[in-house]
Amino acid sequence: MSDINSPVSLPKRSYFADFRHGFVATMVLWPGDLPYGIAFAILARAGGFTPLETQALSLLVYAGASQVAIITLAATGAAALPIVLTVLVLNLRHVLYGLSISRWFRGRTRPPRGILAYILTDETYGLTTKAYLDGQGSDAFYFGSGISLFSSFNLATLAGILLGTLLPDPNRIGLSFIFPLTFLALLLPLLRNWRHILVAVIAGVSAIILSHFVAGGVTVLVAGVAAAAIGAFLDRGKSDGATDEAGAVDLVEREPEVSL
Amino acid sequence: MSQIGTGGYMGLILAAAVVTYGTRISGFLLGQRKLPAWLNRFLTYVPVAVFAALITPDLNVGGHDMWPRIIGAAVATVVVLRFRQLWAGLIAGMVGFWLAGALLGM
Repeated sequence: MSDINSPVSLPKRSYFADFRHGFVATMVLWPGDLPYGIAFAILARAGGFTPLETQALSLLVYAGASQVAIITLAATGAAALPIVLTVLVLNLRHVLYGLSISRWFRGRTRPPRGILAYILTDETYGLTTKAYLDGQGSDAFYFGSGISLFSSFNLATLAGILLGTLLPDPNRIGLSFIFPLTFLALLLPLLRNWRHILVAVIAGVSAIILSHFVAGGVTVLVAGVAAAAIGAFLDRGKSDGATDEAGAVDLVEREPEVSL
Repeated sequence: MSQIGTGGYMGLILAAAVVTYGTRISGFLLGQRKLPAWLNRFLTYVPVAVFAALITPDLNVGGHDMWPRIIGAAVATVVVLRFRQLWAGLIAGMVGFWLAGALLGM
């Protein structure tokens, strides 16, 4: 295992222990993830997608907002090209996540990057970043987190296909609120100085404004890039190695700020 | 690509899958190169910026359940800062959200 967090001789954790840690840490999202998968499947079936196509969306696209966009647009008779372009724009934020998370991976990863990329989501990016900042991250943690979400979302899709409208409306009690709460819990410990707070406020406020005009994935991309660029501008002149805190270039093992 | 007929969504799904995977793998591939210092500084702030942008639209500002959401988020903030446990923050936040919704009749 390539463990960049152990510069000297910290005890090696086993790959499986890290995988399990990532898998279990991500289970806190299941109460939001499972109803989402079920609701998506019901929506897709209602929109004229076959059971196979519905499951294929979760297995092959595996991006909740994009999947909902696809079935909504297709159901209204949109052509394929505009739908695919919409999906592209919704998912461009993944480029940002991939670049960001790549700063932690060194050398060969297990499994290879091509597989890790397949299960990249907002949630796995967030939780893995947090784990790395706490000195507990690894490719195994990322893989465990990704598999936790991928398998639960796909099983929920299957349940939605099989049981359909027999299930109560999962959105009625607002379980999806667990997603913003999770990112809130991930954000708070990263706010270590006024620049971080300023960047967070700029991103948060601009996201609220943007969300009235564009879809969620675009909101995150535009607000995220703009606010991070402002942060980088404030940090100009600093040498690269001096960027500590949220980037933790020179990472040392330290106590977790928030346990996963 | 042509107009989609009824029942023939598999081609569309495959195209969407390829495009989505393209966005996922490209950051991983670009990130393997040595990045310029300005890009590294930028990436330092990406988690803070992205997490904040993922939270605030879901507070539904101006919407019918804005206050239960804000109260839930406030409760979660206090609990996370006090107990430093993700799960405790989530449970407290959800309970705060539900209770506020019930009390405010939303």
